[in-house]
Amino acid sequence: MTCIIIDDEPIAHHIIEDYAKELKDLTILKSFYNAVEAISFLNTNKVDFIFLDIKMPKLKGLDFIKMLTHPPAIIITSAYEEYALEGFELSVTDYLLKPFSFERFLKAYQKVAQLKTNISNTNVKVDAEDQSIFIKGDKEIHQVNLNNIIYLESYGGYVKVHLNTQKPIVVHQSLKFFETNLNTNFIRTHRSYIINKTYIKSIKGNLIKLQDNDLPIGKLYKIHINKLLEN
Amino acid sequence: MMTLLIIVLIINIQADFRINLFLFIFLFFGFVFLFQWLYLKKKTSQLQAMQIQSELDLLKSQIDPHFYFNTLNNLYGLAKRKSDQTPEAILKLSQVMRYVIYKGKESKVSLEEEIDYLENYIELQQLRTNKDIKIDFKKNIFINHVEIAPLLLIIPLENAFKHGVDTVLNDAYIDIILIADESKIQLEITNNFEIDSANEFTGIGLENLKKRLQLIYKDQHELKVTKNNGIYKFDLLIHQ
Repeated sequence: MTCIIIDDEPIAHHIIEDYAKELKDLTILKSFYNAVEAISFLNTNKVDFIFLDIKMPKLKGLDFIKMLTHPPAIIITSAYEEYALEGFELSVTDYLLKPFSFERFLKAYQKVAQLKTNISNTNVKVDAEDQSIFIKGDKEIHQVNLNNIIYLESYGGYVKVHLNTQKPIVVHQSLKFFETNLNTNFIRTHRSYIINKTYIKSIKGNLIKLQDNDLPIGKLYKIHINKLLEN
Repeated sequence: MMTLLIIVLIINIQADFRINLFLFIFLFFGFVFLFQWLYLKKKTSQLQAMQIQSELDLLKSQIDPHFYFNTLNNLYGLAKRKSDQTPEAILKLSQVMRYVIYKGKESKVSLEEEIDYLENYIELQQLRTNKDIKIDFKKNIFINHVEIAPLLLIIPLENAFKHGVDTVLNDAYIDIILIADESKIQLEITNNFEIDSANEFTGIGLENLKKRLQLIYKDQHELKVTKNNGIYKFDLLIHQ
């Protein structure tokens, strides 16, 4: 697995680097002292997860997460307890309170590794060209063209894939998985929704109008909507 | 005739008695109210003193706990790599803690003790970063012994790190000038900060400092804070 470190304190880097040496299949691709530099790196490189500090100059860790359209798994490392709630709302995988032991570090690492194996199980498979997706639902494997997906809805431990061609398919997978693996045409707009940009008719206040229904915009995801206008 | 005399006498006696009774009741309640008033007055001033003390204690306790956890994390990292810096850093941290825990309870400490504390704090903060921070601490102390309320001067210094140094990517600086003479103690702190992050500045530390100054050095201090083009300036004057 690959990861990067974002923390403004050098000693915090040392601790993680030393721990990572103990794990054979973990590679730190790069370490950053601020989140701004990490953004451009993430635009051109794929990483499995990030060790992320919260209090940093220029761009704070939680704002950094909100800015990523397809965030990898995130392990927060902080001396601050009080951001844990917001962190988990942004679906971070784990939250390490500094200073943390190797055992605690290992636990966080295993959580990420577990997440990755869940993803690689065969319920959902995105094809190489990003054109279609194989979804296992109702004991049947459906091939769905990405253009036909209107939006995805979180549904307990499942995700409901709403299509314009047939009735929704329910698949045992996390919304997070789709968020990380679908192309940039899909944006997370709410804790429970990912929307295909093509189907947006209009945006008014905190509502997105699609073909047949209106979906709310989550407070934390507003930044994704604002980005639509920037490009 | 006789009966008339007796009646008049009785009325007279009654009137006399009535006046005495009124006087007695009046004086009795007068004393009751007076004592009650004195008692209440004493009680309120006691309460007020207690309130001021607990307010001061509360305001004092608002020192940022994250500093300790961040420092401990750095100590942990240093110790793990068996760095030669470890023992020195542990001593610095214990001095800081001793000062906060014990000296912080006293109403006045010597200015030197507060200065030692500020210097230890600065050195521990520098341990945290690999940035080139320019910290210039000028001390112009012209008298041998001067006292100050503890943990006052740390607040603006803490802010200079938290809202200044920690927000700037490069070329962070803090200039500190401390002057003490017969008539005053003056602290001036100038630091740069990232303008974008200024909105995060809630100023709780500064508000608490103002309240504490009001309680300890009422009509005896001047505080001026200016924020201009990414430069923050704190100026406190305490008249002796």
